[in-house]
Amino acid sequence: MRAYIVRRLMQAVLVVFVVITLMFFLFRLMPADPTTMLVESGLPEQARQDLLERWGLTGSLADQYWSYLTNLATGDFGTSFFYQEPAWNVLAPLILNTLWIAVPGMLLGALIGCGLGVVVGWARRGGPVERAGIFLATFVRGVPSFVLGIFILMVFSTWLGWFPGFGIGELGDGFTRYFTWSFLAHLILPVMTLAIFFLPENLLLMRTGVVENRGEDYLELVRAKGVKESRVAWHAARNSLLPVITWLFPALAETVAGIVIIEVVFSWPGIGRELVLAVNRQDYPIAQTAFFLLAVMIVLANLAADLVYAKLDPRVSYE
Amino acid sequence: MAEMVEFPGPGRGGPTRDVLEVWAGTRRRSGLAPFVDGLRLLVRDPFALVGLVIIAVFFLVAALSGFLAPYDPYEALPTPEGELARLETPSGDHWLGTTAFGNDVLSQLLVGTRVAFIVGISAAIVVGIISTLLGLLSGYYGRYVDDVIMRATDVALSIPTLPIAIVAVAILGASLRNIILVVVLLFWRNGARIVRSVVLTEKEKVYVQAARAAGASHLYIMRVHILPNVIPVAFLWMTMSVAFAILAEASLSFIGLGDPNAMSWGQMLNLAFTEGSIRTAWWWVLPPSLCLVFLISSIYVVGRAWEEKTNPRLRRR
Amino acid sequence: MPAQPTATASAAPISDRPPVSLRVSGLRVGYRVEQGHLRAVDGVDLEVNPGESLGLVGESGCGKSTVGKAILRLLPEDARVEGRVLLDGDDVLRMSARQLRQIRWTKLALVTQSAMNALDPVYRIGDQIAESIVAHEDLDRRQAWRRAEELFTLVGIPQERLRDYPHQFSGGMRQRAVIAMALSLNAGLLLADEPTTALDSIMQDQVLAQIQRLQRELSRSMILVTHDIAVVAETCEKVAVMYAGRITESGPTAAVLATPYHPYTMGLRNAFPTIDGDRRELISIPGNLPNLLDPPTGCRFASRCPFSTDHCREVDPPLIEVGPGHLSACHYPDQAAAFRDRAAQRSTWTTDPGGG
Repeated sequence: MRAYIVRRLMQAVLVVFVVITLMFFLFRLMPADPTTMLVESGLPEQARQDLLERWGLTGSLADQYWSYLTNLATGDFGTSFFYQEPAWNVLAPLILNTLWIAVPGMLLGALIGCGLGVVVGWARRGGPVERAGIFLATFVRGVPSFVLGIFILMVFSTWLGWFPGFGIGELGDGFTRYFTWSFLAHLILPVMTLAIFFLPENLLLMRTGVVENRGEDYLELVRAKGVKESRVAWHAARNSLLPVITWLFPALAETVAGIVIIEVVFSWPGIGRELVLAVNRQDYPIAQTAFFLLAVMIVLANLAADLVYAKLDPRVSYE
Repeated sequence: MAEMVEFPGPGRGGPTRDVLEVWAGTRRRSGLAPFVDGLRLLVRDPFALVGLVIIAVFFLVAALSGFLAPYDPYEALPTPEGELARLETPSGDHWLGTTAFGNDVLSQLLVGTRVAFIVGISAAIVVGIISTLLGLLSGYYGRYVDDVIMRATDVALSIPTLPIAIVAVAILGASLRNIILVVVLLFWRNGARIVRSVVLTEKEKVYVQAARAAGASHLYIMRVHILPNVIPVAFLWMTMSVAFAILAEASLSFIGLGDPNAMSWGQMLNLAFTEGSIRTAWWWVLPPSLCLVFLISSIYVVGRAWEEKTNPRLRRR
Repeated sequence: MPAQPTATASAAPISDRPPVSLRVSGLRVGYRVEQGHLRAVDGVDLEVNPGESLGLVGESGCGKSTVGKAILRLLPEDARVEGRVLLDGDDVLRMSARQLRQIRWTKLALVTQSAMNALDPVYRIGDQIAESIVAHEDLDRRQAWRRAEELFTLVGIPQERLRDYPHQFSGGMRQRAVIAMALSLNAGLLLADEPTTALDSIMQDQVLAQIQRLQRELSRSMILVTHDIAVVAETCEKVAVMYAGRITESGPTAAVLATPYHPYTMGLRNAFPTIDGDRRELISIPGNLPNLLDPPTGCRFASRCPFSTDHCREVDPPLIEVGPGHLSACHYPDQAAAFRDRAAQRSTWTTDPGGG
C-alpha cells in the first residue's frame, strides 16, 4: 500500500515538473519577448533591460531555466504586466472561487451519472431504457461546454429569470464570505452546467462496467443466494466503480477544460477565466501561473482518485 | 459469460481452437472488409444511421459552402435604406438574420461548416497516423520502447487539455494551422494507448506466433496480421478525433483565440458573446450552437454504436 | 468494515431443514441466436429423492450445466425454458420472483466452480457468506458471522480467514469457502456444478471427499454436474449421462458404470481413469457434438458411434428400461454385451465410424 502511494506521489511530482518545463519552453517560443509591447508604449531601453532581468529573460537558456526553477521553488511566480502585482497575489484568492464550482459540480455529476449508469446498465439489453439512456448520454456528451452554458444561461437566467448568470454576487465579510444568498444564487447555474457537462461520461463508463459485470460468475452466485435483485445490482455497481475511477483520469483533464469555459460564460472570477483574460492581455506571468495552478489541481485530483481506487479495490495493496 | 450457453464446440479429438485460429489467421480478406462489415452493422442501428446521415449532410454543405452562401460572410451589409443591417431578425433577405456587425448569419454558418471539417479531418488524419505508429511500436516491440512511450502518455494524460491549448495557441499565434497542431499534440496520447492494447492482444494470438515461428519477418507479421486488426480501431479513434478537433477549435475560438481569417462556429459565438447579444439575438446564437451540437453528437453516437458492436464484452449474442 | 465477531455473540445454530426432492420433467431450453434456434436442452427428465445424490455427466457443451442453471432459474433472460422443475412438488419455473428468492439457498444451494471470479472480488469472504444468511433469516450481522465461523470450521479453514478477500485464498480454499457458503442455510438440495474442475488432482480428491462426507452427514439431496465420470463413480448413487441436450442413459451408478448399455457411456468410461484398480486404457471418442441449431434426425450420437446403423440415423431411440431403474436410449440393448467388449479396444474408436 505504501509503495503504491509513494509511486503515485512520484508520478505526480514528475507531472508537475514536466508541466513547469513545458511552460518554460513554450514561453521561450514566443516570436518576440514580452517587453516589445511595452516598448511600443514608450519604455526607455534601460528600463526594458531591468525588466528583462527581473523576469529572468537574460543570460543563456540554461541560466534562465535554472533561475526560473529557483524562483518557482521560492514561490516567486513573477509579476503581472497588467496588474503590476505578483502573479501569486492576483491568483491566490481565485483558487477558492474555482473550487467552489469544480468540487460540487464534479461531485454532483459523478453521483448522478454513476447512479443513472447503473440503471441503464441493469436495464434489459436492447430495451427502451438502455437505448434511450445511451443515446441521450452520448448526445449530451457532444454538447460543447460553452453551448451548454449559453443554453442554461438563456433558459434559467434570461427566459425564466430564476437565477443570476453573471459574476459571483455580493460576498460577505470574514467568516460569512461565502455564505450569502447572493453568492449561492450565483453559484447555482455554473455548478449545474459543470454537473451536466461531467455527467454523461460517468454514466457511460458506469453503464459499460455494469454490463460487463453482468456476465461475471460471481453475480450468478449472488443471485443464487436469493438476495433481492437490487442487492445483486449493487454488487455489479460496486465492481464497476473500479474501472470508472481509472478511466476518469483522462476525463479529469478534459473536465478542467469545461471549468475554464464555464467560468468565462458565467463571468465567474476563477483561475480559468483569469487565464483567458491574461492570454488576451498578453499578461504571461498570470497565464503561466494560472496554467500551473490548473495543472496542479488535476494532479491532486488524480492522486485522490488513485487513493480512492486503492481503498475500493482490495487487490491493489498486493500489486 | 462463456459458461452461460454451451455452444456446440469442438470436442475431444476434433480440431482444436488453436487450429481454427490458425485457419482464421490465414484466411485472405480484402483490406476493406472490416469497414464494409462495420458499415453494415451501423446501418442496422437507427440512431447510428441518423448520425451518419447528419454527418453526410454537414459534409455536403461544407463542400458546397462557397457556392451556397448568399453573401460574403465578412461583408458589412446595408439595409435597403442604406444603413448598416445591424442585428436584423430573420427575414426573406437574411434567412437567419444579421449580426451586430451587419454580417449575414447564414453565410457565416455555411463557411463555418467548412472550417469545422478542415480542422476536424486534417487533425484526425495526423492523430491517426501518429497514434497508430506509436501504438504499433509500443505494443509490438514492448520492453523499453513500450515503457518510454507509455510513461510519456501517462504524463501527457495528466496535463489539462484546454489550458495548454490556450497558452500554446496564444504564444504560437492564432491560426488554423496552429490550432490543428495543438489538437494533434493533445490527442495522440489516448489513441496510442488504444492501438497498443489491440496490438498486445493480436500479438498473443496463435496464428501470429505460428507465423513468427515459421520465420516470418516483423514487417510481414505487422502488415498481414496486426495492421488489419488495428486499422478499424485506429479508424474509430480518428473518427472521434474529428469531433475532438472540432470541439477544441470551437472552444479556442469561443475564448477569442480563433483564426481571424476563418469564420468558425465558435468564433460566431465569441462575437455574439463579447457583443453582449447572447441574451437577445437568438438567431445569431442558436444556429452555430445547434450545428456544433448536432455535428459533434452525431460523431459520438456513430462512434458509440461502433464500439458497442465491436467490443466483445458488450456484445449480446 | 465488518463487525469483529466476538465470543459473546450468541451462536446461531445451523437451521434444521429436511432434504428436498426434485423432479425434472420434459425440460427444454432454447436460445434464439442469429443463425436460428439453438436447442441447448431438448427434453430432459431427472429425479432426485430426498437424501439421494445424482451425477449429471457429459462432455462440455452437452447441456448439463444449462440443466443445472435452469433448475435454479439462473439462465439469461433470453433463454426459453419449458417443462417442469418440481422442488418438493412446487414448480420452480412458475414461481414469482418473491417465491423464487425464498427457495433459493434455503431449499436449493449452488456450489460453483471456484475459478477466480466465482466470488465477488471486492467483498470479504465472511461478508459474502453472511449476506446469504441475513437475506433469509432474522439474524444480525454479528450472528451471521458467528455462523460463518462454524461453517469455516466445518470445511476446515481457520476462522480468522473469513476476513480475507477471495484473491488471498488458494484455489482449494476458495472451493471450500464456496462449499461453506452453500451450507450456510443447510439447503435441502445442493447443486454442485463442476466443483473440482479448477483444482489439481490432489485437491480434487480432498474436496470431493469433503462434499461427499458433508452430503451424507447432513443428509442433503445433491446433483453433481461434471464432465468426469470417475468423479460420479466415487460420489453419487445415481447417474444420468447427457449427450447433445438429451439424457442417453441413466440409473444406479454401479449398474450404469459396470454394465453400460449406451455406446456413449462406454466411450466416456474409456476416457477417464477409474480409481478402483480397474485400470483401462484411456481412449477418447473422436468427432464433435452435432450442431444443436439443426440437430440430425435419428440418434444424436450416431455420427460418432462405432456401432451405428442406417436405422440409428433415421429413427430417434427412446429411453427404454434395461434393468431395475436403468434406462438407455439405444436401439440395440440386446447387443450391449458385445458392444462393451468391442468398446474396450482402441481400434474400435479409431476407425471411421459407420461409414459416414
